[in-house]
Amino acid sequence: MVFSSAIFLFSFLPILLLAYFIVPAKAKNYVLLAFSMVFYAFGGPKYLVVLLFVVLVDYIGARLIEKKRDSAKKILTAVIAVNLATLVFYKYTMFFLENLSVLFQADLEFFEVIMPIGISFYTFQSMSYVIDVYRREVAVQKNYLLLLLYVSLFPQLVAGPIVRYQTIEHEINNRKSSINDVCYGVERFILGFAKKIIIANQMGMLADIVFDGGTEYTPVAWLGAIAYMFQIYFDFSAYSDMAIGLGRIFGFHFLENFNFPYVSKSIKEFWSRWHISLSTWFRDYVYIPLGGNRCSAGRHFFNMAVVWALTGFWHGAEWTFLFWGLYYFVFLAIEKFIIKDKLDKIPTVLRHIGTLLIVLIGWVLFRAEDMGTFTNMVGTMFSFNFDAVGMAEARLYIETYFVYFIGAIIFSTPIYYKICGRFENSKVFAVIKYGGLLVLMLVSVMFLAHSSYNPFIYFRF
Amino acid sequence: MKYIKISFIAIFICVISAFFILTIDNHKEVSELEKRTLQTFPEFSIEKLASEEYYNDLTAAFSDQLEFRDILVKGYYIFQFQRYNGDVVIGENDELYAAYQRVDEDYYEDLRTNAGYANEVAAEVIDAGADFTFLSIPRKDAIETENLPDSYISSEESYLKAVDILDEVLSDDIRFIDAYDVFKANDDVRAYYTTDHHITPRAAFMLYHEVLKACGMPDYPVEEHYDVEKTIINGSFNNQIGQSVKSKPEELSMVPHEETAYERSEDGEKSDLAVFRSRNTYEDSYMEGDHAYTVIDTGRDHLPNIMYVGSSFTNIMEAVTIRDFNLMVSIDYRHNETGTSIAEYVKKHDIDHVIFIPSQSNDAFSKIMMKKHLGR
Repeated sequence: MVFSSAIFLFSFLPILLLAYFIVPAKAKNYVLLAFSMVFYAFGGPKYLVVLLFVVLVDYIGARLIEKKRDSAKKILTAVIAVNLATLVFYKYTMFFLENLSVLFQADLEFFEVIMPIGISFYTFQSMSYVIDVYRREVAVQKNYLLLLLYVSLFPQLVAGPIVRYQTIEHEINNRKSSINDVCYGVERFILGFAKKIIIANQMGMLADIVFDGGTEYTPVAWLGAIAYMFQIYFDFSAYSDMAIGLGRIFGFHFLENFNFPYVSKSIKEFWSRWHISLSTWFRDYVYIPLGGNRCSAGRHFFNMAVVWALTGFWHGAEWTFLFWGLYYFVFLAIEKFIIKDKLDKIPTVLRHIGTLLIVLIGWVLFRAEDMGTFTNMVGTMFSFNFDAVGMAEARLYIETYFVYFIGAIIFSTPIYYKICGRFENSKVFAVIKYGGLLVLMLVSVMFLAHSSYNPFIYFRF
Repeated sequence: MKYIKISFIAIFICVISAFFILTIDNHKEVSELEKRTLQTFPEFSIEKLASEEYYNDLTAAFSDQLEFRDILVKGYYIFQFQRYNGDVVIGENDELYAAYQRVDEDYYEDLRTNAGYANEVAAEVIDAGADFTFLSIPRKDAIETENLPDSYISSEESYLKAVDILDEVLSDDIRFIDAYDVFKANDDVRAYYTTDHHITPRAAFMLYHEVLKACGMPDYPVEEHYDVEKTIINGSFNNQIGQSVKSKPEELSMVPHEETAYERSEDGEKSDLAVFRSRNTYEDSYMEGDHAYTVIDTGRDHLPNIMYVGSSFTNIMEAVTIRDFNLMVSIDYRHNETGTSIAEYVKKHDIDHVIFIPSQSNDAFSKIMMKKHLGR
């Protein structure tokens, strides 16, 4: 089930709200758990087994680690191995078979493995719990169902953010939903819903036209790339907005996953603002255990390469994703080892433009089905083919998507939140804001009713 | 401030709950607005809970059965600023045009080969005893160039270039009728519908005159034998760009003054399908849509026999032909998979005239379309 669907908004959510707020406090977690299972079943009921299995392994593993501290490292290794094996099997088997088939010129794709929705997110989340127990950073959860609730909590189950157990450890058993929480949650949900339905989907249409149809014209290629850059941001950050908002309605305070990444002035800054829960996961569970930057320059370089290769591969079982991860490794390494402090001396505008350009090319690689498509697209972007036909085509797209581009630019910056912050205590502003949000929801529902084009990109990860 | 927040939450919950209550009991089977069947709620059973299909059906049903769906879909157009949806463009005159298709130099090179298929088929047809006419109809945007958005690329240039190549490559035994010349010479006649890619009855009749001339038969004004009725047309572009264009009544249906007696068969089986009907779509108005192999026999052996090969553009031509010919055969190789060639049909039905009308689009002359429409 996706948040931006009629069945979620007008069926799942009202029933859940009713059930959640009428049952006694002790039953609230079990209501959330039951609804989370139903939510997940919409993505394939048989894959619930995989989810239950992963959580069971981690539950048992964590309890054993707590009981047998002497063998904790071995238990942790075994648990991580099971988690990674599950992830690798479901996510990468077909990739390996496909590549082995090419390598050995034999048809090795004799069976098909379908990836369960959200497996990349929930295995990482569940694994982090066991590691944190091992590190004594969190107390072991003795109730399997509550651990299952943590991992399967529907707002963040299928597309993140990757919530750490320590973030909501306390809130699992002790939380309250205040009026302010529910109000903020609804506001955040509506904003995310509108971002996804109105901006991301429209940008997606343009990106699909250009990427799927191909183009030989420079302005069209740039428009397609920019449209995709906005699509992926508004698609994914909208999901996080909705997840954070829904979590808040039920009293959970998830950490932010995006912080206006397109205002960044360096690649390092971009990655501190983009998919924060994933970056910090890799930092805390891969980069630092490898030695982080407290080692020789060579080792530091190697650690970065490993982390970014894994980050790329985490996004999908395709070579393009691996190259996409390494692409960022290259730029981060250049910033870290070559440019260093000189970056601050470059004018801010140029740093912005440079960062956005690198990110934009990165998204072209991310969107491309193979390296050939990527090189063709980038080749077209820099071929300077401003043929009249291409200019006319680009004009048509600009005329068509102008309003959405403007909306995308505005909501890529913190303007909305700055305005809200400035008039925080004004009742008149509050009436205008909440009235406006309700209208925005209605408009989004119109877009939703009109269009069935609303797949969340991050579901495939 | 607290009451403002409570009101906001209350309205949000009321709205989503109201949609739930009003939707859950809906059982609409057809959307009049979208002209499609709707997904209804699947029956519940414990066994189905393990089936992925059940959840997919439930999701689709909730979307389709959503209360106020038609109003919401219409409302969308207040907030949508698109003049282009990937398939259809709104012109300066607020009419709809198919999105342009790019053609490159390879297309023109291929056209020489593709025209060769027509030559081969025409030779077989002529050997079988019929003549062969190639009737080419351009896209709407090649004719109504002045109404296109500034940024739109008309297919006029590419069409004319393609016609020049056809002129050069097609065998002298093929009669070539270019609808472009006919429509341009009669620019006071609406050639295409506002919301549909097909040609109007009057435009079709102009082309039919050319066919009659090619067959050595006298022509006549449309009013002599038909009333042309106006209606609001639900055109092929409507479903793609919804309510953006407010259709006005346009000439669509042709009502013959006198019925011509005939027997109709489809794929060799007797058929009760109509030739003319007063409906609000092109498909419903002529021949009741596209068919693989249609035979209309009027039992007047003294008149010639004619055969159309093509797509939906032949439908209106077929309908008006019946009055003047003994036998009308129509083949649509998009649906006809019998493997029977045009020449074999010519022999089977003793056809005198074959009229080939490739599908109207920029790629009408492409290898795939040409081969497909010629049944090769």
